Amino acid sequence: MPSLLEYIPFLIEGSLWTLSLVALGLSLGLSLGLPIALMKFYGVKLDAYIWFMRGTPLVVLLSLLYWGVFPSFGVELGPFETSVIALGLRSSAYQSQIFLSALNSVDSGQIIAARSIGMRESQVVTYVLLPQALRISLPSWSNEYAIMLKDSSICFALGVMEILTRARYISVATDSALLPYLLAGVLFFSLTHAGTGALEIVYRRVKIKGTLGG
Amino acid sequence: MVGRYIAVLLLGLLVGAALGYAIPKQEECLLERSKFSNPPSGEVTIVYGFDANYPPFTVMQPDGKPVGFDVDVMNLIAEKYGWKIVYKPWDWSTIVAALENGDIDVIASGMTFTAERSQKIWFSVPYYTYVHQLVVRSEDKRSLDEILNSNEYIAVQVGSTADKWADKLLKAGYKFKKLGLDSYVAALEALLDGRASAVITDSAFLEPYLKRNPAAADRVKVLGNLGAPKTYAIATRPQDKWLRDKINEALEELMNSPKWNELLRKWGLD
Amino acid sequence: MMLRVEGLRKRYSDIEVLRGVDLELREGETKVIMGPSGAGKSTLLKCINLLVRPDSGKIFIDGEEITSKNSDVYKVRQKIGFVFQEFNLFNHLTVMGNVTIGLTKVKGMSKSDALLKAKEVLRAVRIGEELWDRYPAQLSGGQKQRVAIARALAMDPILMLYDEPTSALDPQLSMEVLSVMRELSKKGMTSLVVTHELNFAIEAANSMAVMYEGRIVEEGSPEEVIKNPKTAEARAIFNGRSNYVLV
Repeated sequence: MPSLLEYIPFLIEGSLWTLSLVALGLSLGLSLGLPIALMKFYGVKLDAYIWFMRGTPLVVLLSLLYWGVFPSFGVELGPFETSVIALGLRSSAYQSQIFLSALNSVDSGQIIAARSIGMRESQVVTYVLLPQALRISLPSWSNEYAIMLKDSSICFALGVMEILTRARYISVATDSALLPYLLAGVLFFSLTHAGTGALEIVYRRVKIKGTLGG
Repeated sequence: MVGRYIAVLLLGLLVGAALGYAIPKQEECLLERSKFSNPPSGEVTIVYGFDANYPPFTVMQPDGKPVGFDVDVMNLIAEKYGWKIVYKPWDWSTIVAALENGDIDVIASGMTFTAERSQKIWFSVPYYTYVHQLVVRSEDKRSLDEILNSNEYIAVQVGSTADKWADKLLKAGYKFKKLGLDSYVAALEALLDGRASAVITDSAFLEPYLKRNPAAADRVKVLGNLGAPKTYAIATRPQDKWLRDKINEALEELMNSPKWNELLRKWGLD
Repeated sequence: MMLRVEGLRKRYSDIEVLRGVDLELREGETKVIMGPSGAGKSTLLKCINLLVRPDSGKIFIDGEEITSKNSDVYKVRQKIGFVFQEFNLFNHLTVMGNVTIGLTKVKGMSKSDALLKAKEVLRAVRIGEELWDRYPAQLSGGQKQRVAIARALAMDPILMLYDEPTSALDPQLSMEVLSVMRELSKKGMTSLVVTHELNFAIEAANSMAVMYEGRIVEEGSPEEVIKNPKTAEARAIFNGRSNYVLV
């Protein structure tokens, strides 16, 4: 039986999968969440979508998609792709909340001022609203990254070989119940803090001068 | 307004699709064609599904490839026919669905032949026999009945046949608390560190484990067997008649050869 | 006639804020509007550049009816500069960015042309080069408002609207803004100013209008109206005292 040490590269390799899931899931969440937030900002009622996504456990969503929706429509998407979609859909609901609150916090006077110099609404959104809202969202969005990182483990149910799945295999292969999970925990911890730390640095650099909090 | 309608529509679609899939399919016509109903032309690639959670039958190597008794058996079968094997690790809770769905073509992962499972999937000839056992700490002097009525924790692997045994016993009126853990290893560790008073496991897992961990072997003992012996078999889709026939042919040949004992010895299963 | 307003009406739920406002402004004229809060002064200004849509009535800018269905709101707004009480600068842009953004994104000017124009107007409002890379949060109130004026001026408007431009500033900072506004008026910028600053009215304005409950009740030269108010409403405001700063 190989020793625990020999399994460490195997465990770390899982990070690639985990990070892919997270990156793609967050991107999908962003590309859906931002338009949804803008639509809500301008009065379109999309509460039901958010209500559904927030209320559905990720495992349920994943299973619904993989075993129910996709086969029924003849869509053939593999476990990894389905996981990304499930993670992304869920994230979009939460991200839309983050963006909406950021949009609302941009002083409406600036919107009126932008219109007063002749900007079309699309320009107001592009040059005044979004640049500020996106910067304001960063801290909360960084949170979403941390959450997504942990959520990604759910995908083991479909055989995606992310970190936790590998920890399980190692635990069984080396007859040790604690250590592999401890190591996995350290890995998650590092990835979380590396990510949020990086986002923090980005936030500091792009922060609008005069924003509260430093 | 629009948003609400869209959401309700989506919800309806989702529920409808899920239900449509969940409602038990009509008995699948066995004459229905599937990937391996008939001999395929050209190169044969078998997607081999397993849950690398079960030594010594399937275990994950550091390089990402599985090893184990079942893996060796599958590899030998494939070698005989010149098949290619693609390894697909899958979670035990959804592995049957994955087979039905076509994500994988065979399951060889310490899977017990049960009447319930054979409603949905077909099994090869059985290749290994084991029995469920109740394991306690060596110094525990109580009888089987006493343990089962002790109101203490008995550990099992969640979703395993041992888990089902625990449920059966509880239903029959025995008084204990079930402690469901991730793997047999975790369940054994719970016994060793005192969180559980007993473990329900099976001899297929236990015997090799004790051989690998002599220190643990000193600290536990098998108190008794539960129920009749069970068997492991390789699973395929019902429609894949050709595949199953081939597997059976190879299995029987293997089991009747000296190679079989070699294999058992190699993995501590003798 | 640079600006003509005819019978403007605007209602917000139960309240009729504008009850038939008539107003005229000649080219180069600076008119001050005064009145108690709630009189509709701010709404009137916002109707003129169509930030608010009036319910009825007509507005003509330089002879063109902007309230007609065919008028291009965006083009109209480019011709009219608006200065807000709360400045409303774009917080994420520098001073230079604030002034150039309308030029590059709305007018489609090249970066270099925009920069030239921006420097010109920033000098006109006496915002020095050392401030051009600063952000709004780093400016004083008076500086912010002058940048706001520059932002509006950069678009080469034919009419400037000021909505209580100094109400949020202390007297010291108000002075710098008012003096910039005075200079612009002297140079011939047609301006409509809602303000409480009597001194500005006397020194810089050509005419004054008094608004009360959605209507213009009195008009005349600033001196006339302040020293000899004819209507009861105007009298109530000025009470014969020319140094009274209104609340």
